[in-house]
Amino acid sequence: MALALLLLIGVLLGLLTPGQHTTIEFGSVSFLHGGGAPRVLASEYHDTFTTLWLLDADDPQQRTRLARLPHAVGWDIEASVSADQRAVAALALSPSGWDPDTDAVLWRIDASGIREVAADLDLRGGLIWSDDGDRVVVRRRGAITVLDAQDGSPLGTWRAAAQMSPHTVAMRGDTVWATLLGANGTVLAELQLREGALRETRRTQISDGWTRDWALAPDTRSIAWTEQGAGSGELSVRVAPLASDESDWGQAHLSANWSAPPVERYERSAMPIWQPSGEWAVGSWDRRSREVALPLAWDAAGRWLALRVMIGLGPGSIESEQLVWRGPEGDVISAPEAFRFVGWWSG
Amino acid sequence: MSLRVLRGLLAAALALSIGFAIGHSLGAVRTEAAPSSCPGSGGGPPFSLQSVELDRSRQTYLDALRLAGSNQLFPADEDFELPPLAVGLERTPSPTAVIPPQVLYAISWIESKINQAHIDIAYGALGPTLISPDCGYGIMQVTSSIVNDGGLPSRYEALVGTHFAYNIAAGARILAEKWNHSLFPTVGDHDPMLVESWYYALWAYNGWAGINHPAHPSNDPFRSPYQCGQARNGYPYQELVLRCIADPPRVDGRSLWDPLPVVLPDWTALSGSGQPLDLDVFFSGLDTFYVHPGGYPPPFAEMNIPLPSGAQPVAPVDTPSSLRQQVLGDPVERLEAEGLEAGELNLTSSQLASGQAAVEIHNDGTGLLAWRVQDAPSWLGFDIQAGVAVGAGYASIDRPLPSELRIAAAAGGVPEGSHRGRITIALDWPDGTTTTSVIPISLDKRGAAFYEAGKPQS
Repeated sequence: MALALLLLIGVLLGLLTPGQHTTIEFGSVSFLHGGGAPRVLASEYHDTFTTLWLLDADDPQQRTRLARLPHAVGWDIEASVSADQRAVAALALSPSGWDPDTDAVLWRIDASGIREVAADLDLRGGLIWSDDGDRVVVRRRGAITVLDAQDGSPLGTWRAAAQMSPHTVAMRGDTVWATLLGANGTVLAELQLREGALRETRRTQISDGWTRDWALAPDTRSIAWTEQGAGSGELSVRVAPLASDESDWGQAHLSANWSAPPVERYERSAMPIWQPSGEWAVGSWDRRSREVALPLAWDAAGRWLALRVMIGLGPGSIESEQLVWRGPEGDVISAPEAFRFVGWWSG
Repeated sequence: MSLRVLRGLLAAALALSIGFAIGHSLGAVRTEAAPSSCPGSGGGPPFSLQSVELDRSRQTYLDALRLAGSNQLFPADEDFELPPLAVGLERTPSPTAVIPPQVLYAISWIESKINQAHIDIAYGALGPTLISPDCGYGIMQVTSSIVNDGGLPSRYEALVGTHFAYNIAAGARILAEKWNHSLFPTVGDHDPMLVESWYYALWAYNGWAGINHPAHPSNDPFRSPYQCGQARNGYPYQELVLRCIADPPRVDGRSLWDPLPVVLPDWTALSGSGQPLDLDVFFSGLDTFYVHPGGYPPPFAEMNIPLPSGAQPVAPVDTPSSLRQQVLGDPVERLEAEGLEAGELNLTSSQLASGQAAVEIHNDGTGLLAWRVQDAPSWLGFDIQAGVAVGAGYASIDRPLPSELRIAAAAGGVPEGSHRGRITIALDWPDGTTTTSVIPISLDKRGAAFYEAGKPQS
């Protein structure tokens, strides 16, 4: 099984397509050596609670329970690790809750322990940290809300126009970016947190289709995402700078950086992944294949790569999946069954 | 101190004690999960309702679900009958078409794990109805046509919230209305006997929202087929239901129903540009709908999809003619209360003041006897507004369970003097009829408030 996984991942890593300015060839990437193995933060779902585990990357049998988060039956947590990899925020549908769009609570887990910091949040609206780790951005009853990451106090709220579904994607300094999905496609809105209020400063139409897999660059100055254009149907991965001093923000940088051949637009999918060095690449795959491996995240040193490997029976018929990571020696290590990747951990 | 002042103080003290008694004794039955208000449906608090949780195997509920899908539960009840299902692309009403029972089984599991009462209520016991924070009631989590306005529940509201069979019938009816509505797109020839055809009706049952679109960014594009019991994150609602049909939940090692193969639409192939499951096609439809609600052509017609290859019709299910009787029973009313003689309730003032006055509603027959407070003076309060009394006939319940309606006086706002009123308890019978029992009661508020039922003071 391990050999098969190794072979599969090797092949699929070869499908990772380098970005426009990337010099790394993922299929033959060489890893730096030295240093101990990092730890993987993974979640294990149960009916009424989810456990967060810390696993040694080189020996996942060595694991420590970080937290056990209660939740409503049937709803897993949504978790996110801070940029310094020393704290994790997790949204969980309250055990007495019902509506995933209103009844989630926010937990914070760090070296000081675990505590609930906010309630009445949307489980499915996104959860991101600010780059400094002081704040988190969530959605509360449809409104983008910045919270103090320590105590959950609201620092600013912004509500999009009706019929636009907002989703948080990034925060740097006092600037928040959110996507708005509506009838005319996807808008990227830039919001500024000033004097206790979150205000929209500008927006740009980035797609007449939908977007997903938003990934902030390690230096937080660029963002990448996958786009399914409505007009052309083209599947693209785009990268745009988030610099706020550019007058033509957005549009000038939104040319497709990578596109799937149009004829295969819905038979392929793709997602961006950032290297710690700041280089980006595209993981693409063919939906018609039996196996799919999604690159999830590199560790901070760029030595370990977590992947979600899915094995199916054919198109649209994924049968099982497995969390694995590839180590610096090229070895593939599997997480226990049903574990889900949350992030790499330094805490 | 004048007599008038003394009377006033005593009245105030009594009102306070009564208020405390009401708050304490009535509040104790509310569950932590019950929301304090229902902003999306009426604005008031949810109704205080009582249900019974039958048995862990859910067999009676499953029987009721089967009956509901073929309009055999309440065929002559205009509030709870199943409308004829529209069949074919012309949506021709068919009096013989049915909802495949597996569809209703799976909805009820996803909605409530097939529970009518609050999760803390043991099997075979009476207790508060399962009410979600968004004020969905019972097994099917019904919210439609329920107006939580702070008043007494209507017949529909009470039955949906107390009696599992009516709750199920209401849910089946809501699903049928979604199936029939020309707003929603179709699968294949819109044949109800193919469970795959229910894709859009199921989507609409939960909410015709983008979050249930299979290509919505919130849904995992690489999700494996949902398994009942797995976390729901990343799955649109209709996939949860359809997959639970194919992979039924297990209770005590036994599947709740026989698995039925289901073929989900290949949404990845159908979500390309301009394809039926292109997210933009959906949003364009929404845009059209908001501009021209009810306009022509149907705004979501472009979302019609072919029947997935391999879909097979459900075999018709024979339902024994006796099943309805087994599920609903034949309830027989008996009201009991201390001091209830010749139709009048003689209660002591201390009983009323402390909230300990109670009427017991017994069911000397079988099945469930559904009751509700239909009318009452404003100066009376109740712990529950409607409930069920359990009779014989359910295998999991070895003795009848009477329902208790506790009464307290809320005399604080009532001016001094004699007040007489009546509590009207409506009994809703399985044949669709309603009868009432009237309990006369009076309040004499003369300083130190005094209550005596049936004997107006002057």
